Amino acid sequence: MKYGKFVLLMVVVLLALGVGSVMAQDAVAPQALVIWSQDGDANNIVLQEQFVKWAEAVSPGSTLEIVQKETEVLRTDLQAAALAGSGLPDMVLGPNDVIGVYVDSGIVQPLDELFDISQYPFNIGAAQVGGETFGVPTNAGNHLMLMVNKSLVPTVPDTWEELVASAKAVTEANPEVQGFAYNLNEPFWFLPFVHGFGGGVYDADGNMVLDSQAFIDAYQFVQDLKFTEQAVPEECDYNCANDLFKAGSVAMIINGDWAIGEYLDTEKSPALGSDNLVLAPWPKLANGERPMPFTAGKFISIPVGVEGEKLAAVQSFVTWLTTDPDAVTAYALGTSRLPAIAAVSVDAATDPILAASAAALTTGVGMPADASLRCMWDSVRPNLEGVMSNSMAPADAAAEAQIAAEDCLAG
Amino acid sequence: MQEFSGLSLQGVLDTLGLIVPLIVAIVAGTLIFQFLLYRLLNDVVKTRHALPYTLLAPAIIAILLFTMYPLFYNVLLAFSGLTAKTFNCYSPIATGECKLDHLYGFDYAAKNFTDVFFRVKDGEIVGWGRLLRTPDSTFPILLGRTILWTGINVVFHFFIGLALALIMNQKIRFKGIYRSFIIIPWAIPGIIVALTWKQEFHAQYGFVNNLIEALGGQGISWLRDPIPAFAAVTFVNIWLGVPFYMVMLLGGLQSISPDYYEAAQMDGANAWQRFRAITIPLLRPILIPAITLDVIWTFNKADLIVAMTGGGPQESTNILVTAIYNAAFGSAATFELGFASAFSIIVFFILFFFAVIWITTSGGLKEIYER
Repeated sequence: MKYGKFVLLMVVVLLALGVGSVMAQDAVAPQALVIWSQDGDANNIVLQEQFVKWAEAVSPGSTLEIVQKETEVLRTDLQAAALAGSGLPDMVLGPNDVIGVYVDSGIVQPLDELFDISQYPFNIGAAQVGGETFGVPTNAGNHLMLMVNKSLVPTVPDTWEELVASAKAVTEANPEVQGFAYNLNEPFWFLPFVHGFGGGVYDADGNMVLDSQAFIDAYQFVQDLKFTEQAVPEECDYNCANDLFKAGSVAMIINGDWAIGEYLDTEKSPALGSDNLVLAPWPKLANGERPMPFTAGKFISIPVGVEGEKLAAVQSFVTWLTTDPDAVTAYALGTSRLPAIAAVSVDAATDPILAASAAALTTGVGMPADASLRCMWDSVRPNLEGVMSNSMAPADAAAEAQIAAEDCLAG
Repeated sequence: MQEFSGLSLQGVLDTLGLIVPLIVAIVAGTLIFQFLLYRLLNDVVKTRHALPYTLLAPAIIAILLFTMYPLFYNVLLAFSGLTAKTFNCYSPIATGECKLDHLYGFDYAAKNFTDVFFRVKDGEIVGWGRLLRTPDSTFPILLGRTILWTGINVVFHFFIGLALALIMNQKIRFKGIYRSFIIIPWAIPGIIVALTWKQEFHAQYGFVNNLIEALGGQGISWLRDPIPAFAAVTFVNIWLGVPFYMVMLLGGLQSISPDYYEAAQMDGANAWQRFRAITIPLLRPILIPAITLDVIWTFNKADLIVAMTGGGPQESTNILVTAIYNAAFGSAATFELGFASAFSIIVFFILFFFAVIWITTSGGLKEIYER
């Protein structure tokens, strides 16, 4: 009888320890966390809401300060803080193309031991450098696609020929409305054409090649689109295309998934909303191929120096934010972006906009996180500007870009 | 209180709550420091200059902290091999193996200073170095463009500013209102000016082309073609810089005694003779420093160019300082702080020698009666 009571007592104690240990694992000591976010204000509000939910359940008393920074400012500020040795945030949220820079500089920590990478089958490769993972995706995409105001263009063009014809028809019907516009001089909008013409940034041996025939063909194509077809405005940058599209002064643009939320909000985009906005893959070129946009997503990286209880809090929050189906639904889908985990999917019946975004995503190519890619952007930009001002021939632009890239890579 | 893009009463109060204690702490700390310093100088050191030294001390400390220390650090960086690839060697927290065997040295300085001018391959100079990505981003071309940019701006600043000052010095009605309007460009933050004029120079929707087309002309692709882009940023900087000259020269004109003009008139001097023999010489003590400052400010005017054109199109509006900015913080993320620091020292010496030669040869340091 004594033994029976003893055994029963031990069982109770062991059970209590077990339950206690689960609670100890789930609970996180309250922390004041800081995240530098490249995302827009509207998305950051959702992020804050998700943090509050996580904190209430797991870490009461924890706070999150979201500091919004523009992409290049975030990068330079992070490098400056790392050089000073203080002032770094606990998390960084942004695109993947800067991750390679952070890795080269040694200012972000590898995450393979902190997160279950198998949870992110779609785009984790975009945050991997040298076989290690340095970012966890909050969504998949960050891809460019064709966006159409169907009140102005009822039939979405499937080829560039159709797009040019539709654009001209729009302007003929209403001279105040531009048929088509996009960020003309930005390489991120130009690279998909290179992919569509069968080329890429690197050759099979991993060397950067910016003077291939695909590049020349792409330069020629965009130059013809502006000067021969006259299908785009004389001058248009991101703000131009974006603002005019929201106001209904441009019928079709090429833009990224980060803008979908704004376009669905009729207060911010009176001409659009779910009634008028249509998303589609890039139209096909004459060779039958579609220009392929770079795809990746937004990633959370953790700077070096984040450790101990703070790291535990970050790990817990980010794991929940990026793998809990409800959290992913609220943060990714809730901000009109695509989920990065298999457990959450887009229902085409209830969300045709995001389903179209997902369809456009499948036509893209993964963007590597390699730091050398930044030399490509920098080298292509002035030469693309020359082509788009008709002061440079495509072949010359490609040749000069290659020289500039080699110079940049040589340091 | 109505909300404007996140500006709310609570937000203002929260911001004040952060800033006011800091300001109070700085003021209180300064006063306590000055009190202790005065007691030290007066009671212990027993110098009769205790009060002047005490009052100057905060300014000296601020100069040492915010000017001399960054200057010293800049020189130190010029002797470093700091780039994105060697970042972890210089950062106290970055991880990774440092591939440098030393952090600072004359070898780094030699490379940094050489790279500003030349491209070195296998130990031999093979030509002018590219400071940006285009073939004509070499030091001589950027220097020439910077001198052209500075020269055009300063000349127009001076002549337009002087003309406006001469007009404002006359007895005209509503002078105060005209003066207020002329000073507006000076009062608006430069970045706002740059972004606003960037829109006004838009090829299709900008006011400038709309005006040209309304007058029967053809619109120009201002910010997409190299020469019009250079003209556009120059125009905006001229617009920005004229008020400075007007204010300085108006003050100078008002300090000239009318007796000189009366005497000259009685001697039969005409308006041009009075202007050349009285106005210009008596304005010289103001003109020389004004031109010196204007040259230095315009030579280093990076913010306007970066905001309006980003140095483009095709890097055609880049000047020396925007190339420095690009090397340090540009989108290639090469973070070449060692090279950029060396480059900035070279620019410093260019302006230093200009200032010395200009002030010496123009007689700016002489009293008007010594000439």
